[in-house]
Formats: sequence, structure tokens, C-alpha cells
Amino acid sequence: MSKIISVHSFRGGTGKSNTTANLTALIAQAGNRVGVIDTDIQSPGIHVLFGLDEDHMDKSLNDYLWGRCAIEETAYDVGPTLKVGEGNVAIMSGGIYLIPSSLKVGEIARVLREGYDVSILNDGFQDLVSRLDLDYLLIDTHPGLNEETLLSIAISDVLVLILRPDQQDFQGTAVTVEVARKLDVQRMLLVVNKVLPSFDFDSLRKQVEDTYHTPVAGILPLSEDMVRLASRGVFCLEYPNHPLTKRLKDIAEQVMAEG
Amino acid sequence: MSSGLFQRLQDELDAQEKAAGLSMADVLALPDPLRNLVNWMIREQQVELTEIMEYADQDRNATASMLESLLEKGLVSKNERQGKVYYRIRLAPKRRREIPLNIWESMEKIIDQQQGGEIS
Repeated sequence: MSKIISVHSFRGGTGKSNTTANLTALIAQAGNRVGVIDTDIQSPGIHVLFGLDEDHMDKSLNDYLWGRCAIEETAYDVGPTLKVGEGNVAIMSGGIYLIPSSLKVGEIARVLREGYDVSILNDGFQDLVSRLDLDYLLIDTHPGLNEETLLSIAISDVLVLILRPDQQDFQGTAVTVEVARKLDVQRMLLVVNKVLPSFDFDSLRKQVEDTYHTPVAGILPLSEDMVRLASRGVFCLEYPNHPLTKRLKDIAEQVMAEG
Repeated sequence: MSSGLFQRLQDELDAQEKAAGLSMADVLALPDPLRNLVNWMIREQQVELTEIMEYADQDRNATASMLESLLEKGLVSKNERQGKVYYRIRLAPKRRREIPLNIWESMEKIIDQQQGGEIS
């Protein structure tokens, strides 16, 4: 039974795309066929982490939304090109199919100017899963709440909400949790990211779980190595033995576990 | 789901103009049991009358009448495939943003110029 996982945050800059890319890679390494779709049409970016050059991006999600092609034609098999530490090719026992959004100004402009049929996006999610025979589809969303984000949440089997230990994030997450409950999201997991290593992680976990009545799948420390990588690759592949990778693996296992 | 809710929906629909579909924001504003039904239909993509009857715990007449009203108001669409009739929620197209049309041409020009090294 395939699963749709939305990774979302109320505010930008939480590390949502990085977390999505890492979860994608870890779930694929566990032997699954994984799709990852960039629905952040206004400000796409996850393709950078997977090393997909925009010059080699023939088709994108935008083409599908305007009826120019089938959704599976916008999927790029990025698994074979991923590198692990020291430049070796990553071993993916599953596979990774990336559906990027367009980076062309005119295409982003068209979405903002003309909008698109949200039903088509919903069909696209389901068609991707069936036509690419995916075990998991991860959706990288636009921060905040808009139509496509609400749709992604509504159709998800698991919603992963990313927040930082920050008062604005805490308030925004409260809103998102309430909305997700109204949309009958099947299962919700919180990830607290960019936490100063000096913080008491156990205490923070308890505080967040008590506040939102939602399980915390992981607390990720602010990592200098992650900052240095600067989205030039997928962290867990570049640093397979890093303590942060271990925490990311724990989160991936919870995402894959039955709720 | 009580039959009173279908009646409440009927009353609300009677007061509405035909719509171009439901936005997800509209879905959030629905009363609980109806919202649950719509969420379920969105997740399932398309469902048959009998499945809706079972989910909503309503009889055939009440369910068919509710669906007819939703169809009439443009909130649900109906299609036939291999002799079966399916219903699906019509999601409203994402609305365009109110921004000046020529702003994008200007932005593209600026980016082209930057890429061509004309602007430092």
C-alpha cells in the first residue's frame, strides 16, 4: 500500500526542503520506490539538493498543470546520479523520482497570473503513485497555508510538520495543526529543526508534544556541517555516519511505520 | 451523520449561486460531518453512490438528492466509466493573483539583462 507524505512548515526557512530530500533518500535506501514532488511553485528549490540542473529540466510540474504532458513525463530518475561522501555513487536499492517545479520566471508568472485547476494537481498525485508504481510520494509544500498546501495536507497519509524553537513558529504550527485536524489528516508528526545543541532536547520534546498533543518524530540540532553543505547535496548521503543522519534515519523509520 | 445535516446542506445550497467548485478554504468552513465527507471524497478521488451512502450512513434517496443538489451547484461532478457512475468533488481553480500584468515582463527583462552582464 503506497503512502503520501506531505512535509510542511508554517514559515519559510525551517529546513523543509532539506528534510524532505533527506527523508526521500533514506526511504529509498530502505528499498522503496520514492517520488518527491515540488509543489512550491512560487519558489521551487528541492531540485538543487538532488543536483538536477535547470538546463536539463525538460519538463516540470508546470507543464503538467497546463495540460502539456502527463505527470509521469515530468519525473526525473535522480537516484543514479546521487553521490555519497567522497564522490561515490549512492546505492539506492529503491529509486528516486523527482518532479520539479519550473524555475523559469515566465512559468512562475503564469501560475501566479492565471492560477490552475487544483483538481488536476490531486489527480497528478494519485497518477504518479500508480503509474510510477511508487511506495511513497513525498510532497514538498509551499510554506504557510494556500490552496495546494491544504490539498496536500488533506490527501496525505502522513503530515510531517517542521518547526524551529521560535515563538513565531510555535504560533504558526498551532494554526497548521488545527487546520490539519479539520482536514482529517491520517497521521501527523512534528520535527523540531535547527535546535541549538546546548538545549535540553528531552524537555523541548515534552514541551512541544504537550502543546500540540502530537508526537515529535525527532529533534534535529543546528549543524555546522549542514550549513556548510549549503544545499549542494543530500546531507545523509554526504555524511552517512554523522549523528544528524542517525536522527534523520529515526524520523524516516517513524514515517514508514504504520500509524 | 444525521439526516438533519443533509437538510442543512440542502438549505445552504438553495441559498447559493452556482459555483466553479469548492476551494480548500471553503472545505475548512464546512460543518464537521460534511467536512469529513468532503475530505473523504477528495482523498478517494471518485466514489460511487453506494459508497457515499455507506460512509454517510444515509439511505439511497437522501444521498441521491444531496448529490443532485451538489451537482446543480457545481460542487460535485459526475462521470460514467465502464457502466458505473462516479462522483467527485469539484475543486475550484486556484485564483489568480491581482498583480499588474506587465510586472513579469519587466522582471524577465531585468533577469535577462543580469544574465547578459548588462547590470552589475
